[in-house]
Amino acid sequence: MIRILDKGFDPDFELAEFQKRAFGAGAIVSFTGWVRDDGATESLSLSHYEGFTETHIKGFVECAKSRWALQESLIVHRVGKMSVGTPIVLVATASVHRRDAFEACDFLMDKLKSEAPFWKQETKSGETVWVEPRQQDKSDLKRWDNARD
Amino acid sequence: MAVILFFGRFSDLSKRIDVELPAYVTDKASLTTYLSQTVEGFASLAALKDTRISVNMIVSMTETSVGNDDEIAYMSALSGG
Repeated sequence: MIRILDKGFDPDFELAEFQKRAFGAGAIVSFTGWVRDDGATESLSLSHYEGFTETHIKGFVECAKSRWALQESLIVHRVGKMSVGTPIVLVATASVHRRDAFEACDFLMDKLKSEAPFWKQETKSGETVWVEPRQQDKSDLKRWDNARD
Repeated sequence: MAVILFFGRFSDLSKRIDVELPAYVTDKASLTTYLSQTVEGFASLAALKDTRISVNMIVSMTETSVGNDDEIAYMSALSGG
């Protein structure tokens, strides 16, 4: 399941619902990303291309399913303006054994960080700037190029 | 009427333009030339190497024809999620 929301969500609620859907799975792994407090950030604003972004994320999930034995997956992603301490993204994966769930969750986050069609603006000290892609995110994604085929 | 959408840094210029394309605009390259002439600041963004163009939500590295029934999107480098 993929959901892109323009208002806040409760990761605990989403995860509880996911656990119901994944009943019987031996392993559930989740990751929640939050707007971090770096002492300067006032807000973060994400935009997406409706329809296009969802299609790309579905492709990431299909890719994950082809590599790991996933029973269920969940991606919840915020768009719009967010303040420090707000959840941005939740990824959850369920599988029979832990390794598939761990790696698929990690992989999906790397795909979201590097290849998902989102555009981000940060407001710091009253100034709003576009966030450029990070080399670290690209390096993280490359870890999967030669891993387990 | 073609719909042209702008994302990322392009959205600083405009969010959306609905336009009857001139006859000489038949593909992505000629559309980019047209927009460079009509939208201030567009040319420099379009020239950036990470710029992506989709036609009806499909991104292709090869030349693609465009027409008045199409939705074309200009996207600056992705920030990621």
